[in-house]
Parts: sequence; C-alpha cells; structure tokens
Amino acid sequence: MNRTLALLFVTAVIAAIIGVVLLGSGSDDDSAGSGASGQASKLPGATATDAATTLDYLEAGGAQLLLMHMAALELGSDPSSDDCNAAAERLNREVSPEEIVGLSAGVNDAPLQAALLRERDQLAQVLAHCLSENPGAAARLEQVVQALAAATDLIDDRVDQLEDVRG
Amino acid sequence: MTTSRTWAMLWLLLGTFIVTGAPAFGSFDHPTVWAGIGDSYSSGEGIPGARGPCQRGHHQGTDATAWPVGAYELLIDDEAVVFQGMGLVACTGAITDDAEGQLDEASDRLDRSEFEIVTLSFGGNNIGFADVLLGCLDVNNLPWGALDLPGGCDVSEAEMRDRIDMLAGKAPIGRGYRGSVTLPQLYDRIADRVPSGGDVLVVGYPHLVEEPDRWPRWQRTLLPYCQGIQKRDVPLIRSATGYLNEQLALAVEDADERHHDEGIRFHFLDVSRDPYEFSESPDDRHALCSRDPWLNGLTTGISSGTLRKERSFHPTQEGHRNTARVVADYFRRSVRMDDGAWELTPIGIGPIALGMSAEEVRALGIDLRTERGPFCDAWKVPGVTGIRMAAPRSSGVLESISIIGGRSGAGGVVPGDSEAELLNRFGARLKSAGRFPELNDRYYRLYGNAGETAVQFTVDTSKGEVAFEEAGYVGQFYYPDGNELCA
Repeated sequence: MNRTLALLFVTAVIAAIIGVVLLGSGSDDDSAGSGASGQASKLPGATATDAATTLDYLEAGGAQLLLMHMAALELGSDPSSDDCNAAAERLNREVSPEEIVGLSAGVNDAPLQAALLRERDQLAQVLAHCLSENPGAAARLEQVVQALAAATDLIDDRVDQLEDVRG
Repeated sequence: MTTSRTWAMLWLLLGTFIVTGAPAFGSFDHPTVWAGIGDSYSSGEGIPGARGPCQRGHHQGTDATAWPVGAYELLIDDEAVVFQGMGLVACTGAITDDAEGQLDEASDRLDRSEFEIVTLSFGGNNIGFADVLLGCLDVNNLPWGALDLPGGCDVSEAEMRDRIDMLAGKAPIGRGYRGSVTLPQLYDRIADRVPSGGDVLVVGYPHLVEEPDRWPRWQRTLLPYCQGIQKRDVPLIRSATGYLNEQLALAVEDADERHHDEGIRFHFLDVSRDPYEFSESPDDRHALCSRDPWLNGLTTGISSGTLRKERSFHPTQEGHRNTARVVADYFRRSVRMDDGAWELTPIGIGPIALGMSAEEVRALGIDLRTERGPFCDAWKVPGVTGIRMAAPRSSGVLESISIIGGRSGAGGVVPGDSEAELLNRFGARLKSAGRFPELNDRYYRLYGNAGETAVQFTVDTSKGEVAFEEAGYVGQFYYPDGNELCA
C-alpha cells in the first residue's frame, strides 16, 4: 500500500513538473494558442472583445488591408512578372503603401498590426524585385517570395486565432 | 548685547517662527508670468482634445492639458509663488527660428514684455525628426514596386549626429537642417526676454521606442516591429534622441554660464529618464512597446482612416501629466523663483513689500496671520513656508524678511550656495562683515543698488556653504551691526 502511494505521489510530482514546464514555455507573453498553428501559437492571446473589434474593423474601415493581403497571397508562390505587374497596377489603384500604414494603425491587435506592416514591407520587396530589370534583384526574388509567404501565413493564423476567441 | 546673546535671541525668535516645509516664493516686485514656448512636445499634440493649428492642450472646453499647463497648475496649487498667469504658445512643427514669434504672442496675451519663467522644447523639428520617422515607416508617397529597399530608416546615425551638431552650433548649418537659429542663439534671444531673477527650463525629448531587448518575446523574435518601426532601426532612433538630449543639456549649461551674472538661470530636464525611463524596472518604462506606453503609436483619423502623421509618436495625456509632475517637482527642488531679485527696492515677497502694514497686506486679499512676540509681530501667510517676516511693534510695518533654509533666497543667494562661487560671482559687491569663530561662521552682506536694502548671510565654514540668510532694509538686521530688530 505504501509502495502504491509512493508511486502515485511520484507520478503526481512528475505530472506537475511537466505541467509547469508546458505552462512556463508559453508564459513569457501570455501566449494563447487556441486553434493556432505554427508560429502564431507564440503570439499573445486576445480577449473576445478585442478580437471582435479587430475583426469588425477588417470587415469595415480596414477592408483595404485585405486587398493587400489578397495580393500578397497571389504573389506568395513563384510569381511571374505578369502577376507582379497586374498586382502592382491593382494595388496602386486601390491602396497605396502609405495608406496601408494608416489603415494598420487602426488595427487594435498589436500582433496583427505588426504582421500587416511586415506583409506590406515583404510585398513591396517582392514587387520591387519582381519588376526590376536588375539580374541581381531577380536572383533574390525566390528568397523574398518565401519571406512574403511566411508573412501571409502568420496573418492567416492570427486571424484564425482571433475568430476562435471571438467565437 | 554680546554676539552670543544676539544669536540666542535670534534662535529664540526663530523657535517661534520656524515652520516646516521647503520654501518657494517669488520676490519680484510683480507677480510671476510664465511663457510656455516650444514645439509639439510642449504644445500637447497627441493629447485628445488638443486644439487648433498649433495643437495646444490648454483645456478650452476639453481636458487636454499639456505639460507646461499641468506644471503651472501644480505650482499654483501648492506653492506660494504669486503667478499672474501663463501663456501656452508652443506650436506643432515649430523650430528654433519661431521662438521669438512665440514670445511675442505670449507678450500680447499676457500684456508683459518679459517673463520670469520660460519653458520650452525645441530642436526636434530643426533636425527633421518627424520626417526621419516617416522615412523609417516608409511613408513616402511612393507607389508599389518602387518602395525604397531594403525599407526602414533612410538616414544614418552619423547624419543625425551631424544635424544635431548643426543645432548645437558646433557645425555649419547645411543639408538636412531646418532653420537658421542654433541653440546658443535661441537661448540668448530668450534671455533677452527674461528679467534678472528669471528662469528658463529646457525640456528634452523622450525615447520613442523601448529597447528591443525589452520587447515582449513574440515581438523580439517573430514580428520585429514596434508601431511600424523595424527592430533594426530602433538603435538609430534611440541613439539620435540620446545625442540630442546630450547636446541640449550642454547648450543649456553654456547658456547658464553666459547669463548667470545677469541673474538668469538656465535649467535642463532630461525627461527621457524621468519620467519616461526612470529605472530598469518595466513598471518605470513608458516608451512604445513597453508594458505601459505614454506615447501614441501609429494613429489614424477617426473620419478619414488615414495616418495622422502629427499625432503619432507624440506623448499621450499620461505622458504630459507625468512630465508636468516632474517639471513642477524640479521647480520646487531646484529653481530659485526669486534669484536675482536684487534690483527690487523695496525688497519683498510676491506682492508683499517692506514698509507695508498688516492692513495694507490684507487689503491685497492676502490671508495674513500675525503672531505676537515680545517686541515684534511675526507675519505668516498660509502656504508660504521657510520665510520669517517681522514687523516691530514700534513701527507696525514689515521691516525684515528672513529666509530660514531650503530652496529660496533673495539677491541671487540661496542657502546651500557655495561661498567660493558667490565670491566669484559678486566680486567686490560682496562685503565681508566679520566672522564669528565660536559659531564657525563667516558673514557677508550684499547691498542693493540704492544701498537701502541688503541681503546678508552666514557661511558655514566647515562646508563653505550659505547657512542662513536674511533680507531687508539696511539697519534692520539682527546682527552684527547692533540694530537688533525685535531683540
């Protein structure tokens, strides 16, 4: 009986340690990975109210941010120069890089705001490299496209997180 | 009466009159006027409710309170300086060249050509800090596909330092600098509008973005942006702010040297440390991407949805409130509201002048309290501490004002001042008036222009510092000339 109790006690201690380690690994920034995948799980959690506010904004005042995001998704995988020309033309008609900064300022979720600004920078780099006649720029295109794809993935994951929290 | 007996009597009397608390008072012959000049960091831009083309936060139907207004309100609430008023004339976008125009505006508004207190922040717009930030954000009207690569700030740290050197007058003005007035020129022009005894307080700039090592982990590693500023650009921005504050401090120190003899003191307050980054504790740090930022990040207009370039990266009301607190504390602690009041004849404290009767003082609306002593009445004004006013019963009027410690003084002399510095400053005007070895003191007197009034003080020879001071009509002091008022 005593041996059984001792075994149970040791098992409980080990479980507690594992629990503390697991909790501790995400405690730096109050991470909340509910429904998130990949790197988005390292982002801090959001309240339901903040998530709703952010998502409402993306559907209304900040809708042009989604135009940028759609363009980024299109160019996030082996874009041709025709793809780049079409995307640049459309974007320049709809929303300028400067306007993206202003629209991002309205996003009250700090990680999503940062992710959108990073996507803007990566998208600008892809377009600049893709449209450049400099052979060096073309050679680096694949690298910047990968960075853009990572940026768009993170935005998608964060939006998923916010939708999960909003319910 | 022997000297020791005189001292014994003096301390007996002081025992009756000493009140606790540190003094701060104005002894100008007119109430103090405060001009709040400067740029957007002084005007209050960034505070909801800041109004007009200058974005001034001075109430006007809102709660917006820029730090000069907040500090003024703190000082009139709990200090005994008699203020006539303050004019917040700082304006968003202002450069050093605009200072004189702002002082003219303050003159018109306050009906005074000179200001006993001038506070300011200038320099950020001369070096184009706002444009530098917009460059860091790549807010530059370029179309997609032409955005500058690799993104981020467009100027180097060396270029920023060059511009700051131009501002400080250490390098010829050239590319990247706005305006033509350097800091030494600015401070000299301001000094022309400040009377002897006045004070000029220059306030530095806060660091906009927290050190990246202190950002939350996700921001350090996953999304290295803080309000659109890339992590790699933060050292440049912080370094430029630090160097700007350093050069402001040095220029202020030089201005103080130049104008000290005129009785005008220049002071510098480095708000980047206090209140914005007061310690290493996260609770005491308030730049962007800290736990509790006191600056606006990227800000959009509610109606337009576009970036409000002006309001972004400016202190919030909380930032202004805390800066006001630090400024008010600095004034209480370090600024001598009455230094250089030497030319005043008759000498007085605020609206109270020597020679006035208690009735005359009360007629000014002052809540004067009197305490009856053996030979004199002691006068007290609630809130005015560390001051002893004595009216001998024989005359019934104020004949002596003594400063019994703390931060205030008259004639440019304050308890705690260095004897060597005073001898250097006043030269032959400072008359030695004997020594009392048994008291370990030296004794000096400084006569007013007309010779009717004087400040006299003792120096504690063990420290070489002013220990006790009094001011009044010549012949009405306690010691050592035998005219022992109230004794």
